Amino acid sequence: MAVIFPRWTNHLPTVIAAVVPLALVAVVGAIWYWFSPWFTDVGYQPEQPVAFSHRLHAGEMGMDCRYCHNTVERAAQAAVPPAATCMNCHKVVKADSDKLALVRDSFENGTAIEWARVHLLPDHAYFDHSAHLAAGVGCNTCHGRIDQMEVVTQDQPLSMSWCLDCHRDPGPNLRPRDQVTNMAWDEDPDTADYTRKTDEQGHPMDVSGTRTLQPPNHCSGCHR
Amino acid sequence: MSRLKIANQKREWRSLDELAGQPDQEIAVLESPQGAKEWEQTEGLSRRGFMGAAGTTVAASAALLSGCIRKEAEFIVPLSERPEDRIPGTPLEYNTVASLGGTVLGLRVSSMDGRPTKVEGNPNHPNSNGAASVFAQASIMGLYDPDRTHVPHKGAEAATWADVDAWAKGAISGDGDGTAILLDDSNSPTVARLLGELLKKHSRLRVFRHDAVGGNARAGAALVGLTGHTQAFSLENAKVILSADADFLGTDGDVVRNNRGYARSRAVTETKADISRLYAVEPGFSNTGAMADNRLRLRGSAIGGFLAAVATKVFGALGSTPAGSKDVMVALKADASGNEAWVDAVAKDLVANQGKSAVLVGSGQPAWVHGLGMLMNAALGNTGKTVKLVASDVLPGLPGLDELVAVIKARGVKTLVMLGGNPALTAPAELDFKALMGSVATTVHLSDRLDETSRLATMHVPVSHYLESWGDHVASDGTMGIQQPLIAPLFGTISAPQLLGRLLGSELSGFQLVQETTKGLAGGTAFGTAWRRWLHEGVVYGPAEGVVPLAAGSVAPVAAPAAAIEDESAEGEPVEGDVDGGEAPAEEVAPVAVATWDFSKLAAAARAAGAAGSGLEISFQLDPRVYDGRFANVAWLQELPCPVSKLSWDNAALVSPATAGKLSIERGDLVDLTVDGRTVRAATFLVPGITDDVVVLTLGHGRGEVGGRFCGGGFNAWPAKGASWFAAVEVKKTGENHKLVTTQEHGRLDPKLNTPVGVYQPKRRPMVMETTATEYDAKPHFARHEPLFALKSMWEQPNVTGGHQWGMVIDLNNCTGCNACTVACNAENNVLVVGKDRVAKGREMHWLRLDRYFTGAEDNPEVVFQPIGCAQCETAPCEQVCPVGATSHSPEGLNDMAYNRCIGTRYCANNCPFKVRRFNYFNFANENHDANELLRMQMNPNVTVRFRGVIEKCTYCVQRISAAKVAAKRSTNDGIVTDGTITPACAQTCPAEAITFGDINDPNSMVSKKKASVRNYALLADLNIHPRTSFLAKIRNPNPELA
Repeated sequence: MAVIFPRWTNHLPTVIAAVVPLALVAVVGAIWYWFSPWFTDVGYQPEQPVAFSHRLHAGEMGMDCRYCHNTVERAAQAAVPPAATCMNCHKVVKADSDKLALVRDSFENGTAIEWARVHLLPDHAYFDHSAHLAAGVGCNTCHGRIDQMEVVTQDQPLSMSWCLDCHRDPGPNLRPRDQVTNMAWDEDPDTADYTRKTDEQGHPMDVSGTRTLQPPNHCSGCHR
Repeated sequence: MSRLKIANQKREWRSLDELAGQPDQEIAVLESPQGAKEWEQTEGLSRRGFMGAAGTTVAASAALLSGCIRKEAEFIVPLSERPEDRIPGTPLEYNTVASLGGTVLGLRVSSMDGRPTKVEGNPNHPNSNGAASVFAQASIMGLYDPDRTHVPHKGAEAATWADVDAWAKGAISGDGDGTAILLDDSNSPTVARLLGELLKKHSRLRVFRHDAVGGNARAGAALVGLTGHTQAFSLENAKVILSADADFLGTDGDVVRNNRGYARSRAVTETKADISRLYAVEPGFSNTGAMADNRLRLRGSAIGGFLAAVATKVFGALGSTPAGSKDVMVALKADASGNEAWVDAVAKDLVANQGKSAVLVGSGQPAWVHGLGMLMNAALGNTGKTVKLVASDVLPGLPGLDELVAVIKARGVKTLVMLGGNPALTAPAELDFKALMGSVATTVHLSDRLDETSRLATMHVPVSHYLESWGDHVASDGTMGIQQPLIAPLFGTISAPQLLGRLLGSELSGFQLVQETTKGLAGGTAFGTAWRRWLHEGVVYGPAEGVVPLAAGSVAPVAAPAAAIEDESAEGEPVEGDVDGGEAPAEEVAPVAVATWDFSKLAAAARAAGAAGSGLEISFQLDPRVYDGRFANVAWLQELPCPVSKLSWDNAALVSPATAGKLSIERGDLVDLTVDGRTVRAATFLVPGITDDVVVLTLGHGRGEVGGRFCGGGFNAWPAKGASWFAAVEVKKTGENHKLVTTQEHGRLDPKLNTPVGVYQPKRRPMVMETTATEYDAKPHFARHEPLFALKSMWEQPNVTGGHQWGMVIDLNNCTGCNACTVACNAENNVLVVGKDRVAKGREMHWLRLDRYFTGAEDNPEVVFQPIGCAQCETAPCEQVCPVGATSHSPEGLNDMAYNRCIGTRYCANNCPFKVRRFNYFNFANENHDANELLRMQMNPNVTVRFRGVIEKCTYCVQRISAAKVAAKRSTNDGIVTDGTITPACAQTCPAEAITFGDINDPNSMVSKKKASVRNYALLADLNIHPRTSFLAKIRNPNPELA
């Protein structure tokens, strides 16, 4: 009887059995890794028109976040400050710096500075800063150590599943309201002693201990 | 729940076709008809092409993703200096005042990052009481109207502002002889003051007013010696209301104020319906007619005679007539022919309720009928109780358009300045104003577009919208408010005060001109403080108490010029007391003593009144959507179904089925309507309940491209309309046809279905529970009934207790079907317009629709309205069939919709018993908005703009709920939203307070209390759906004598 398949084909099933699962795992893994917002979004660091350093202002000089982002406690948007806020200091400090030319121009002529948006949520997701601050979520929980960033970089994926992780179990991300702008809270050894309040069922309560936190997990909580 | 038969419930029907047993099957059955084929035929991408392109895109995006292409870059562009109180993305509200469709409304307007997006009523203003009319809701689109002119025009040619300035400098020379100014229906103290100054400089300048709609009422007041007075009604104090062709709940006059008053006069307790009674006498079928307890169909020309008959009876019963009115009694041509029972019953009711009744006369009735109405109100002792007589007109006694025409013909006019209005369209046809305009050397028209008048004028000056210019307005009750702009003029346009300022050679801005007018009103307070308070409150307060009506400061200076004008015109005598007489605020204006009235002219006018016509008669009426045509280019309004006919995108010659039979015309037949030799063409539409032998045609449609890109539809009635609003008409069939679109069959709640296994006709359920006051007193719990059939739930009843549980109650006893809620919803929720052809296919996107049912006999039915939006069923049938979980329940009882999950199967719409889920067949947003930057500026950024292929529906304004919840979390310890904090757009604008929203888990909330009412019932409750929106049953109060 003539041999139709050469001898080496005897190994083919074995090879297929070994390679195909590997390939499948590789494809799934590749998509899981490279298509994930952890890869596509985290680390996004667009170039800004003005070389503003959060490390210098918020870190070394220790300015409170809310000096510039002053609507963060009252409104959905934290609001990028107008040039007038910069000029409160820079009329005096480094008044002639070349790096500040654009800011001075904006202040004097009313022209707008086009800051590149780093944290970009989809249009159908409605996020509200004030609600999160009221619950005691710190800035760095979502934005990372801004005080250590020369140029602002996206620290967390800001994906829906990432949001829901915390909405389903907010406890670990809560802190006293007066500590929300404390960038070093998580690393602070003292915070280990901070006991988070819970109600009788063990649900996390807000820091004042008066209301059980029920972050929305339903569609209209964020989508309208 | 007691076991009650609902046998006495009247049969409801939606259309004549249905009554005849042949409802429009396709529309009735198919909630969302198929549309894939049609898409292939539209221009651009074919379906096949799309699939190809989509495939490529997927491949491309995969490739790009691996190359780490991020989302499109976005920029944050902060202001260089942020104004105080301005928070990006958070709306700010400002109070202002506007003159909209024959009434002055106090408004509260939201500004989103500097652009006005939403209009609401100002609670401080007594004419709006926090509510807004359909016109007010739609007026925001006037600001973003893509067809507004941006620069002045000379003829059809664009000109420059320098041309206007050059003209204005030398426009009026010397004593002003040969110059005339024509005003519109607005009532602005600043305009009056500037005219006064102009008259001081140019003593022979002539001022006229063309109020195409309100002219009869003005003339009526003059007939009883009360020139410049308006009637402001407080119907909440009324027990008996007689409407003589007055659609005071729909289009005519102070509709917001009157809706509120009327609704309050209908307040029902749990055991007793001690409510007002509304008699409506009308040729057509208006909202007021629909609400009437007793409605008499009467041709327009017979209404004067009818009212005269009632008056004669009333005065006979009173035993005395007001001093000086004897002549009137003699002159009145009472004509009760065939309606004697009605006249007797109405007169008896009016006399029995002296001081608690009100007689309202429609704009379309001649002046003497208005005068008679005022006389009746005074004689019945209503003045000061249900009606105030306020000297509100800041320019009383101005001669009208007819006198301008006479002057032009007699002496010629060299320069005619028209401040607003559109006289070339709205002038009575017999005046032939268009032709006369040609004989005036210079005609200047201030308007927002190249309309009929501007096209004929030698110069067109574009006017600013009320949201972009300073002004002031005095309402009919004397309340004065300042029109505060929210945005700088988009196109550098000017306002009427500014144009007058330029004629005066003044360099002052609109702001300065208005401040100048109000200087004297601050009283003891520093002007700056007073001014800021006026703007903040939206109402100008007087020095001592409450609201300052026109009187104290603002009007006095105007008196002189006004009188001067009158002397000039030699028509209308100088009026005493009406200008200076209003020292007290409007609330305290004493009833005008009958002694100061002067009835001699009324007697003469009544004597000259013609008899009721016989034969076919046309009745011109204001359109419930576009008023007199001024709102014609608002697509929201064009698409809005008319309250009774439910016509969308068109008006039509409305006739009763009997009349249609007599003329052998059918729906859609184009007919030529000839009035006095003037012919207009219109399609016919059959509406049961229209007076027989009457053709009703609304004004303001069919203006073609002159009005703007959205005004093509319908038929222009103005060319046929003379001075009278009704006239004998000849109807001639043309043999042609016109497709009319009506939504009356859309969204049936009890469709008869042709299924493969047979015809399914559900048991007839009552939609609008209704009873009479007498029956209610006997059986207050009539609305409660056992389910028609018991269904067993396949699902466990979800646990929807705890926390907030949102619910809504709609009081059908209050709802007058005015449509304001639908337009408010359009504005708040970015609901898009789809166009006539798609409405014909049942694809209108309205989240909230007003179902209209006829009940009773075909020749004279009653009408009930029922607003239907998503009822947020607790066991929502839509959720159970969604294959992708795009719609699901929130713990607070909302039926959430996640647009980005929706794949457009439309299963949910199919399964929705209320038929409230709307599907985006096309990318309507792109169609309407992307091409047009202006229209997009109105969009509410807090609501997603939906894309093609997704379902959408009412959310109870979840964006407002979220905002309130976040605010509560921010500012309270418990995070609980207090009752009344959240008001959905429909409830906020409702002038009749018919909609209540709140937390049904809180027993003390308004909504819980209403849900506990005996009148509360759930619609389609038999289906086990547990809807969160429930209704309160309607009570009518018909006169048993007329039964």
